[in-house]
Parts: sequence; structure tokens; C-alpha cells
Amino acid sequence: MRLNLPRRKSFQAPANLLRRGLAFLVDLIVLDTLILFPLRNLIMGIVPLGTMSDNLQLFTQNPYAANLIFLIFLYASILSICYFTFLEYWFGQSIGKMLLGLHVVSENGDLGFWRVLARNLFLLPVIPFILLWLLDPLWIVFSKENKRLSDVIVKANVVEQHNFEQSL
Amino acid sequence: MKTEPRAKLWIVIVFLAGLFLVSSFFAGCIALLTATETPSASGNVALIKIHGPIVSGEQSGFFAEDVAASDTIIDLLETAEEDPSIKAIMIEINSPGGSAVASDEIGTAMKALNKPTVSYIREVGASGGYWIASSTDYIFANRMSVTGSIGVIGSYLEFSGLLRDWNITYEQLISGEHKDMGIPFKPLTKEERAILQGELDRIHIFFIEEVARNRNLTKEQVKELATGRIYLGIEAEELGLIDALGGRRDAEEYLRQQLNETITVAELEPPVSFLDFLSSVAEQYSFNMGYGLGESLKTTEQNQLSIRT
Repeated sequence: MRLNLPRRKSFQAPANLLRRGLAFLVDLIVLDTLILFPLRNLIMGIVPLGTMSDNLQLFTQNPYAANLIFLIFLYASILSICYFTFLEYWFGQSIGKMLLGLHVVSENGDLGFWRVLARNLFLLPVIPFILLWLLDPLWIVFSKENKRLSDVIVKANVVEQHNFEQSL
Repeated sequence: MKTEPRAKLWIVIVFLAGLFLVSSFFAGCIALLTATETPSASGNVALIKIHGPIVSGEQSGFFAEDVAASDTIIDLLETAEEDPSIKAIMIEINSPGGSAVASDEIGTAMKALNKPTVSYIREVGASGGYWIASSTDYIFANRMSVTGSIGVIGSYLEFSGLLRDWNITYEQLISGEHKDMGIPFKPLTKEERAILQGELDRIHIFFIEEVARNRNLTKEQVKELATGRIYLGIEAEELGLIDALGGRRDAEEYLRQQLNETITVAELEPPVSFLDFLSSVAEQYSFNMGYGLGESLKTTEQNQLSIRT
């Protein structure tokens, strides 16, 4: 007897916290290589290697250096937002998510460009987005579905896809 | 976006390469733009403008408030002094005064120059603005320009009554009897008032002595005029506080006669690079908001009492 059931089934589940962390780590390595590497000499020229207190003193005494560093990091963060936004908008995945098999999906309908952009604005080093540097990781830890606050706001989910062969 | 795996791979590679190129391009631009720029003149007379309140330190940022920062003005004066093509220096003053120290710094730098100097006062050249004008060799002012105001002010708002009304107590924790003298959270004692008044009077005397020396007047003459009142340009001329009525054209003519050659004026301005423009956006947004808020809440002696001329 032939039941005519599909041979292959798949379902999506909220992404595992560890996998999300690893995916983000991979993305950070990619961003470090692509965006920060060309800027490294420039940054090192402005802020010589030193202790945190040395650097704070430098920025307090030299607002020009502080502004310059802020500008460079603002620019790097904008490029980082472009990296996440375009890849997630086109493919639902950044490089890290591709390697870890994660996808960004919408809870309702199509996840448009602006919603993808909104969920990545936390990277901006300006108020009020800086608050998300603390709130987002906290939210993800205490959320049942491992969702960042940004994901809650834009109604998006990061899921992992499970495929299995139908045994019937 | 449904794409073939191969096409997807190419899109990703091209996109990432693009990000790398954009980042490299930005790094190159910043490296070029941060190269030091020095103001250069293309004339034989340098024009330096002293506009706005006079403050100590450096002027920063493209959108910075219109202030005359002493370090910046002194840098420009030294640039003009060192430039062999510059034969004389013309100062345009439109300032109500400001920091006594900054005014003195600029005045001292002005007098140390070995080239002829002339100033012309536009709307206002009062107090510290007049101090600087008096340091030049010759002063012009419009007949309606506001000049003089030879005096010192060190006033501040005192909030102790307001705090008391709101049941807020100022806890005085000091080491040194007069350490919190002038703090806005408590009224001055008689002794403190006498100390502060004494210091203001001393600065006033410095101001009078400086003007007397600069204008070849006796101390007594200047003391009579130094009530802190303003004088219109026409009065200032009669009193010997300025040399002649006039403006920029007259100042140029004066220098032409002094140098005995045709003059070409080149304005010296603080260097404002493209990066200054960009970084000042960040400055306005983050530095001023955070640091400014912090400063306004701070209760150290720095923001209690400022002495201005």
C-alpha cells in the first residue's frame, strides 16, 4: 500500500543559544577581517597600545582624537549594519548563520528590508542604540524563544531548520 | 530571495569584497585628510578676525560656537609673524570680551609681534575685546561701535534660597576655609566677598595698567574712564581710547602708508579640514551631549565663578 506521504519533512525551531553565539562570533571575525583590518593602522596611529586608563586620559585631553575614533567606529558600525542587513535581506542569513544553519524569518509575512535594517541598528554606537548592547543580550538569555529585544520589536525570529527523512 | 547556490556564493563574495574596498577607501581618505594643514597667506597683510566671546584654549569643530579662542588666535598671529610674505597684521574685532586670561594672552602675543598691527572695531570691541584692540599699534572704530567697558565682572547665580525652599541641604565638606568660596549653593560670607572683590579689583588694576601702557595714557586718565561703562566710537576717539574713526578701508589705507606699498589682504583662518567638518558632527552629537550634561551637573569650583573682562 502506498501512503503517498512526502519523503522529506522539515520544521523550524528557535535557534539554539550556543549556535547563535557561534554564528555571531563568525560574523565578528568576518567583519574584523573585512572592515576593521583596513582601518587598523589608522586606529593604532591615533590610539597607541596602552591601558584602558591611558586611552581614557588621551580621549579626555584630546577631544580631536576622541572625535576621530568615534567617527571611525561609527563608519565601521554602518558598514557592519550593511553587512548584516543586505545578507539577511537577500538570503535570510549572514555568513555566520550560513555556516551554523540559522535563518532570520518573519513572524508575520515577508521580512522586508526596513525590518531587517531595524533589527541590526543595535550596532550603532550612538544613543539610544547603545542601550541595546546591554538589553539585547539580556533579553536573549531570559527569552523563551531566544529572541533579542530587536527581534521582538520587529517581529522576527532566528530559527534553525531541522530536516528528517519520513520513515513511513 | 531565491538564488542558485553558485549565484549566491558569487553575490556573497562580490558583496564582501565591496565592503573591504569601501573600508579601505575610507581609511585612505581619513589618512589623507588628517594630514596637517597649515594656513597660508597669499598677500602682504594678514587679516585675523576676533569674533565672539574670548575664551581660553583652542577653537574646535566646524559648527563650533563663534568664539575667539586664545590658542587659535595666537597660532594665527605666529603664523603671520613667521610668514616672510606678510608685512603687517590687521585685526578685525567684533567681540564683547570674555576671559581675562585669554584676553591678556592674546594681547601679550600681539605686542610681541615685530610687524605693524592695526585693528578696527566693528559692532563691539568692549572689555576683553578692547583690551586686545589696545594691544595693536593703531585702532579704528566706527562712530557707533561699542568700545570701552574697562571693568571686570565675576558674578554668578546663588541658589541657596532655592535649595532651602526645596528642603535640599548643601553639605559642606571642605579642607581649607575658603575652598568652596563662590559655590552657588551657599551665600558668600563677608570675608569671602571681600576676598573676591579684592581679586576683581586687582584684575581691574591690571586692565587699567595695560590700557594705559598700550594707549600711552596715564593710569589716572584710564582709571577715570574705567568705570566699566561703554563708549561709542565717537566718544572713544575724543577720550583717546581709539586713534581714529573708520573701518576696514581706513585700516588698509593706514597700512598702505605705513608699508609704503600696495597692500593685498589675506585672511588667516583656523584650518578646518573636511575631517573637522565630519568629526564635529560627532562632537555635536555625542561629546557635547554627554560631556556637556556632565559638566552642567558638576559642582566643582570650575563652574562656580568665572572672571571675565
